[in-house]
Amino acid sequence: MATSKNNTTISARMLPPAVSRRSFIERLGLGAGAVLLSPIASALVSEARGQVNDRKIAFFMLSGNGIHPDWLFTPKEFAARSQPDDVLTVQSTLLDAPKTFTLPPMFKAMEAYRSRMLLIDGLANKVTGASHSTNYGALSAMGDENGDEGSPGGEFGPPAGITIDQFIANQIGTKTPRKSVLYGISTAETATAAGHYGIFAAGKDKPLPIYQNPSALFTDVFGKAMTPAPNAPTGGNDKAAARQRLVFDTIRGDIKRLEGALAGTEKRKLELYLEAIEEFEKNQQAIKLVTANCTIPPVPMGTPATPVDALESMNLIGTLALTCGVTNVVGVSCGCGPSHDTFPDLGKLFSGTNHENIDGHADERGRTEAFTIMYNWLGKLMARTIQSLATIKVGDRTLWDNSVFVFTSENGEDHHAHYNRWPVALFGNAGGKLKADGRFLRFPARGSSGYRSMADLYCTLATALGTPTNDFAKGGPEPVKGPIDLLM
Amino acid sequence: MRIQKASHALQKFCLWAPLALSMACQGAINNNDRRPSDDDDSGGDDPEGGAPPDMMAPRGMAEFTCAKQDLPTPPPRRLRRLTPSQYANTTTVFLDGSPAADGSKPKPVEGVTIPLEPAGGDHRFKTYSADHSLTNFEFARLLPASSQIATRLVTSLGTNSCWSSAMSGGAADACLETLIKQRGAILFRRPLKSEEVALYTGLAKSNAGMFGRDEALGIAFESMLMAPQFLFIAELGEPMQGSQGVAQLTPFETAAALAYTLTEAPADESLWAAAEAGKLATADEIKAQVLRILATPAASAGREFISEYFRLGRVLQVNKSLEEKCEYGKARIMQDALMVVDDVYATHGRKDFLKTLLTTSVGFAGCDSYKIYGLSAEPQEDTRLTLPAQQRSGLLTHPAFLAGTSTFEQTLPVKRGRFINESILCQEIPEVPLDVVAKLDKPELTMREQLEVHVGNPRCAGCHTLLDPPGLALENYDAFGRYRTSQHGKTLDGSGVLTGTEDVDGPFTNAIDMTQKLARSVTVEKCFVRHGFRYFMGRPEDAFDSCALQTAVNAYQAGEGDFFELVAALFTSESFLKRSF
Repeated sequence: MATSKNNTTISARMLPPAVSRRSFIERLGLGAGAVLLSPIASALVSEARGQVNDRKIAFFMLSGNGIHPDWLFTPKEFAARSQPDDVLTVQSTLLDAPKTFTLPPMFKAMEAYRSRMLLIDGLANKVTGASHSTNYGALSAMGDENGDEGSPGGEFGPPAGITIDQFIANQIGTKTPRKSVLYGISTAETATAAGHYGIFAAGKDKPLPIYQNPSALFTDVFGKAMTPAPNAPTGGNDKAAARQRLVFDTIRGDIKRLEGALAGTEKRKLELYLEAIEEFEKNQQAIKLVTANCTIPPVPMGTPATPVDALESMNLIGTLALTCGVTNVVGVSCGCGPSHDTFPDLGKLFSGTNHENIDGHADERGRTEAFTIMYNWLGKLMARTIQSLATIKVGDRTLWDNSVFVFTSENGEDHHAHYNRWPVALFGNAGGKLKADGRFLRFPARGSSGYRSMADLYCTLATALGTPTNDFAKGGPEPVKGPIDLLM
Repeated sequence: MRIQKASHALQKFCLWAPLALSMACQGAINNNDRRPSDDDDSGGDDPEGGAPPDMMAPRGMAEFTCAKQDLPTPPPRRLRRLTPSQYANTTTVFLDGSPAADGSKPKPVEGVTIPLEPAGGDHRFKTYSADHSLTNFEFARLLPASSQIATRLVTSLGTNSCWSSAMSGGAADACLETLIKQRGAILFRRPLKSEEVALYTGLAKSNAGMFGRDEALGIAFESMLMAPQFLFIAELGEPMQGSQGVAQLTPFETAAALAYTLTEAPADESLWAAAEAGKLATADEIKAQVLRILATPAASAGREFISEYFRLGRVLQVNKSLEEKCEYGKARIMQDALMVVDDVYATHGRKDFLKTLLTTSVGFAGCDSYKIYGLSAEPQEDTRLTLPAQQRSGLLTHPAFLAGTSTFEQTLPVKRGRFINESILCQEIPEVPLDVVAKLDKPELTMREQLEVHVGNPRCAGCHTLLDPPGLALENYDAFGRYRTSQHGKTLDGSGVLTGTEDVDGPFTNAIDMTQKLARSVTVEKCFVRHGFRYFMGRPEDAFDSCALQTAVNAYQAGEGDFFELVAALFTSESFLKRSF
């Protein structure tokens, strides 16, 4: 399916020769559509011997450009679709809809999981006054409601606080080799072929990288970076480690000598170099633990030809990381930030670029259909991961039984969003802690009595996943009231 | 990784006098305005209203004045991380031991994955220093790449008489030191300091017992290949006597900047010798080297700069329906455009460079692009063609530019107009207001008919008076860059009024007439120089740079459009040579 005409932005960035997704997956040692069981058989046995399944799993998937509540997200029985600016009109009372509504077409791929679905509209998260992207503001709920482009919470802005995925990972990710695994696709100018930033953060001014090259992600997660080159000198592990230590110590000394002459941004470049070394060393330690429990397939080389191929391949790796026990937290970003992604593989509606399809307004001609196709593609990715988790039974429960999947946009409700009503879909009930039972909820408008915010939702998620909190994002633009009773 | 947000310095420095555009698009830009780039579609084809006039004011940026007494401090010391091609070229020379004698570009090392990525960042040019650091992704690949290259070099030394014959004793030590000094100088772009020589020879000698002699040498080379002195081009300078806190680039730093900016490779023998002899100290000495390098086959700066300036690479990012019929090959069209740039560089690099880029009717075509130019048969490979002068006039009428500013099969006149306003005329256009919903949903109408709505709406008219005319002039070219005279059975009118120049404002009859006008404009020339500054200096300009800009304009004009003189003026300016610390 990967043809040269589909080889868009990524090929222009001088990546290695492209390979098709099928080929890439085969190199992973998996059949297309595999449930990721064969390479992790040993891990399954190991897990099954455990008496209690207390692993919590959190999966965050963010799609760029907003999710239009009325044109896409809301069940047709409750949607107001007459005017494009309906998005600005929110009601002042709570809607707790019965479970019999018609499933919105954008969730068709997730229909099998409807009984553990919870659709939420109306949550406020006014982290910026700009639009196009809230970047880190989406998951941190921190920012400035009057902030401009470049301000924390705004487009291009730096992280103003920890994002909820990392907040949760700080609790449920401490025992896994990787606290979280983050990947996604972006054609934003800030992105490079290997990865980008902009969504996930470990804290204020601590952005986390998002892989967008499957080989690089695989290497990072499963640790083949130290595989010696074919003609490299051979030696035992101790010798290789000693060699590496010598080289790293020398670089550290070089950096220290050089940074004395620099200040500010320029000095920061060297600090980042040091951090990269430290991160690499930490990864190596973590990888040792993984390889003891799980059969790791060989490193797949090359780069999938299209963004669709890339994200599907990375999602297989992310799923493998979950089922293998490498991590309990996965973050996925699809076209977030000031990105102009397009997905020709998904059909003729995606043959153009930029505004012509998913980077435009959802209410315009042809775009609602394009968005629906894209959301269902992303839904299929989540469904595949859920299917894998559901297959692994530990004690009397599967990994899926303890999971929560969060699907939303990093830009709230529209291409030019106001962040008054932020659509979020949850799948999974976190071992019964979350009341995800097929409902549709719409909260009162921002400023109305009883209105709630994304910060409250994040308190809810954290609490349900074993990290109780009443004040996540405290100090942000929305008042934090704590977990939402209706959801628990 | 982009480690510093774009400073939007352009909004903060008043080096330019706003042009008389307020008549068309009144008011001032306040601090809350969002600054787009010309490739941002969000300010695209949007006829449905806009913000109040005071939110919609463009601003002229073509002007600058040199007031030396008011100059603040020079730019700070900095590190410029190698680009992927600079890394590839340097490691090739490192393995070869010296640059190619014929001055040609090095060939990449086979079998080694380049670990570095192109810069991210949201800046105008990929040369911007602030956009380059070293990410976790890159480091994970840097380690095996360094090991591989170091091992390959040590293996190749088997045939080196010094390394293979002197196995121990004083001769072996001398050989080791020579190797470290020679190869290290290539990587670090200067002779190694004595403590560096001691460090790397020490690594090789003290670890020979544990790893063996060859592998220990490999460790030393591997460390050098991962050293910040190699991965980052340092511009630190030596403190200047009598100027507290100001440093001047050393001859080797100057040589490195020239070589890596102009050729993306290490200094050639002549440049290295000049640095070694201290003959890069005066403006004349530097200028002589710049002019010499720009005339060598290794010089790629003209092509790279013009490609980025006209954003020709955007054509590669847009899918087109004609691709399925093999009548349109975006890679070939990009190649055609670069061949035009090369041709203009070769024939007009020293005179009328920009003017020719904006007016040439020279073209090149291949099997999946010739039909786009209206040719009836595929020309012979690399044939220099003369296209109809009434249809093609320079890069703004080249399919690479035109297709890159269109969608699947629809033109984007406002995007084209925005590019001309921002990049050719240096006007700053505010982005479309947040409450505007872009709609162009009447495909049965021509773009001129669809954009008519701007004229009658005061919220739109201010900026679209500037944006629409140059964009609509290019409606004589479809989304693939094919020339056309009609659409939907209606004759296309390419006429309009040009606004925003000091000297050629007024009506034009069509795209050809417009590009000819632009080519004559001093405003356009100054804007070109400003962009040249950004590209070659690797940063946006600030107040300190006003004299450098003025001098560069003077040099370009005195040379009657001499691109070489422009580049030489930039590299002999204080903006390039001085650093604050």
